[in-house]
Amino acid sequence: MAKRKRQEGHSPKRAGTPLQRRLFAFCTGMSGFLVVLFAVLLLAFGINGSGREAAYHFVGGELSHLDNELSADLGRLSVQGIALSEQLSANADSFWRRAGMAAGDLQSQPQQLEPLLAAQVQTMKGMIGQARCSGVFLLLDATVNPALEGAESSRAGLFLIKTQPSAVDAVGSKLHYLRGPAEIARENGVELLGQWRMEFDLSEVDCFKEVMNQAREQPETPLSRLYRWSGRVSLKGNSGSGILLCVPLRSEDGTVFGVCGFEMSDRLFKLDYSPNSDAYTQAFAAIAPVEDGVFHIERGMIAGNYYLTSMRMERPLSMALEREGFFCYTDGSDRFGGLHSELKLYPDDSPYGEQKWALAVMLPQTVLARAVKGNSSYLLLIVLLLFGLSFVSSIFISRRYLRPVTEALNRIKSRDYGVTAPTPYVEINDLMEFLAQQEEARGQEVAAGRITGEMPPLFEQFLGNVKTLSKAERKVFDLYIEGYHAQEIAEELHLSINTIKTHNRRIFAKLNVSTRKELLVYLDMMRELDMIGKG
Amino acid sequence: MKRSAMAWVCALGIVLGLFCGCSDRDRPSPKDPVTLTMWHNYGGEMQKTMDALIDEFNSTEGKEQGIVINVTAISSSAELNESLEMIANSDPGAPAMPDICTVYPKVAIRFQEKGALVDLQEYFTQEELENYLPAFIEEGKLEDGGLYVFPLAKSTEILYLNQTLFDRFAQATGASQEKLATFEGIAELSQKYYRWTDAQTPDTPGDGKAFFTADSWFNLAQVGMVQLGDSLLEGESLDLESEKYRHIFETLWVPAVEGGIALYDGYSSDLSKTGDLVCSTGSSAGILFYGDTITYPDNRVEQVEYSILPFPVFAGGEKAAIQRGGGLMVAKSETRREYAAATFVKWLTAPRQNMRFIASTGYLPVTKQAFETDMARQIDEVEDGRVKKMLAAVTGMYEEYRFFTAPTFAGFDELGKDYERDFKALLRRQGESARSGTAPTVEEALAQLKD
Repeated sequence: MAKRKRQEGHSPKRAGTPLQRRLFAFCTGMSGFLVVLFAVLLLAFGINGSGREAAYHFVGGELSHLDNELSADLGRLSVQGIALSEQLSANADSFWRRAGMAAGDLQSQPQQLEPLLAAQVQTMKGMIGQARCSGVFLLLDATVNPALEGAESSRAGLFLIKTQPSAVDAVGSKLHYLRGPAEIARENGVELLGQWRMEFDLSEVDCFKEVMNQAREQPETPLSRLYRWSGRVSLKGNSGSGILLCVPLRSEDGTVFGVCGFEMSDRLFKLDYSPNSDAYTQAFAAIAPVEDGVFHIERGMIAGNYYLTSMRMERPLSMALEREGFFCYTDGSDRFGGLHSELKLYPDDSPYGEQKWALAVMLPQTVLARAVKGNSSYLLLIVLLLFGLSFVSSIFISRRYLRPVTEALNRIKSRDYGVTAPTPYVEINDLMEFLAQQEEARGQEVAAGRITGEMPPLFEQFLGNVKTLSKAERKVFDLYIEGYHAQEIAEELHLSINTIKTHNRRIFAKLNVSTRKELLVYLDMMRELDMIGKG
Repeated sequence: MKRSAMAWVCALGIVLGLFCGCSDRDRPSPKDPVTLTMWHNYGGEMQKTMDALIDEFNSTEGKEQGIVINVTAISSSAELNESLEMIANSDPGAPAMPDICTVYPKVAIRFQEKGALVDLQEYFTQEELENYLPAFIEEGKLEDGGLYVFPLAKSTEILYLNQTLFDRFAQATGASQEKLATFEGIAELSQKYYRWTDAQTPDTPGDGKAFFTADSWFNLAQVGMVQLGDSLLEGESLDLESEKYRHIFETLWVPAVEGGIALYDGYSSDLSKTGDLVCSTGSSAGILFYGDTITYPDNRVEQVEYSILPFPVFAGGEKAAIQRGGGLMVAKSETRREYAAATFVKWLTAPRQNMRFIASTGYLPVTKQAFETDMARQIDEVEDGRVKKMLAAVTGMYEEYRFFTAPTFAGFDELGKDYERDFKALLRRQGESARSGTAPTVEEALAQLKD
């Protein structure tokens, strides 16, 4: 019964730790240490999987690059706009002299408008070819027919646009006619656009009047202080839109008789100032006026490969600095993240110097958050998987490498020292060989009579005493032989510990031993002589 | 032992698969997207529709598949063709070839000869191609039989009539609108209109107005010859010797020399906007360029109405009209870019998208479903009255007319440009001579054109 229990794993507790457990603990500890070391090294070298630095580098880099380019282009265009104004004004002064009139007579002599405009076409065609713009315009503060309804907001002028605005002086870029007398277009071989109108309708656009009024209020201020960039406007009846550089036209006598300038359409802005889309396809640049921490994108333009102009946002974006050093731009429903920098459009002493513009590079907030988060979760997953792998391989290694050892130990226990089935380990094989040699030597000694088999008198007496044990005491004694402890014996025989202790006292007395250790010595001797179970 | 080794190999494979992902380099994906450049010629009001469609693609199908369409040029066909010519000739300063471009077969053939275009049959199954009108697919097949110009929207030529001006003219002179059914009738009315307008300012002789023009005199001559049962081309050259061509030439020459026909280098819609024309033949897709007003030199704006009439026929000829309209060509590139471009082309020409484009531009659809079913059903739902009018007229023409497509060979485009330039220059010169009293005869004029 006891033997069966032992085979079923109910063996009594033994001192020490099983070898397999120790080996497993060692392997797990070692590989775990290596994984931790790997993780620490990654962190020490800044490899934490976070994409914040990469995202910041991208957005900041694109912003810096676009800022430099756009600032230079807008600055150059402002200078060219001033030169255009000076040239057109000079042409007009020549025209007044030839026609025997003054700039102030323009509205009273509307028949002079078309010849005056015709005289300006070549200058405008020349300037539009040199400038990085989508269109050039000239607006005179007069209308050809003051008697018409709505004449107060109708102004004569010319507006030429490039249909392929990014091409500067390139073949394939033709001029089209958006505003102006049709006859001038035909004389100059310029086709009318579908949205062509003869005159400008200013009923929905304020910038022209504002620039003329400002110039009239400051007659001594040079043109270099009087130009103004409008927010994005779409002329009435026109499907396209863009920002306009407006420079007043001033004659020799100081009369402000109109406005001229260049258009940068939102299509040109998109073509020339889109951020690199290789890393983030949804990245886009935007310019817009900034007032009180609000990015007025509804008056600005956006540029990104992913976005067409029709996807323009129509509501202002509030700006707030958030964690990770990025700004959050939101209109309440859509959220974007990115960085911006101020665009300097005017000299400090310009009357428009208070008007601030900014250039921003943005991404949808969800995209930016994902980019900032990077692949740290993947990295964590890798570390956890490495831990898991080390655990599993520790189990495998401890089992695989210990199996021959436990088998060898079992063979030693059963005194099977045969060398016909060696283990993979040299040391164990040596031990087996040694034990086999000892066994052989002992057999030879017995055969030679050096070991007589005579037992010591006390042991002989002990064996005699064993026979005096009662049946119950013998059961307890047998379990001691099996290696059981007192508590385990009590459980095995369903007796109380006190009963076992009583049995112990009697057994010790009958066997004439005083301690458990002394009893175990006798038991070992019995085992050595293979007498267990035979008493 | 072997089983455990296999298990380890499998486990390792799974782990590597988890980290590396299963990537297919021949296909774009949201994590590895591709951005394609596109040029198209749908400007003005048509641009809104095309922009909206591309926006929709980028935010739906394109987003799912990692395809972004980036429009980098929107210009007229002529301007796009000039840029494409530069690319084809490898001219210095030529722009980069776009991945997708709207183009006519006569231009695409230059690229096809250089092996620079994708045969789109590789990306469409036979079943998918059968959803399109066979004639439109055939038109996009070039010399080697490959499908290099995929049909997106088609058009034909029609007669635009400023009904307001014509009614005014008819009321004063008794001119009959029925005469607009033939070119001979148009020629007669052109002379009549010129004289009538000239007579309104007796103090200024010779200031009569033109009645008619054609956006393409070359197309008119081609169609005219087909109507009369002949051909303008013999092989890859013009054949101007036949009596039938002489009749066409004479029909146009007489009113043109007098001034009743406008010889303008731009589109007829330019002249229409200022009331300098009553009717013109042009592409049905040009409807949105005509507007609905006339602006006079004193800035007065008059509201006018346009009528869309079938393409006129030379007297006694067959009712025939040209079928035109380009398609989309895809530049040869790496497989994933070609695949992405083909995916976009497939999406853009699907019946739903095709009808959306048609309903707001005036083009004709290219899929059987859109052409044969959806268009007739949706004509009433079209918001723009001009487009509705045009679709109704063209649908009627498709029932009565025979349509033919211009041939495609390498020198065809150049041939057409030369004819157009020479024809207009000759008639302008002779118009000036006639006004100075030294007009040549029609034989002499024709002989000059042949030279």
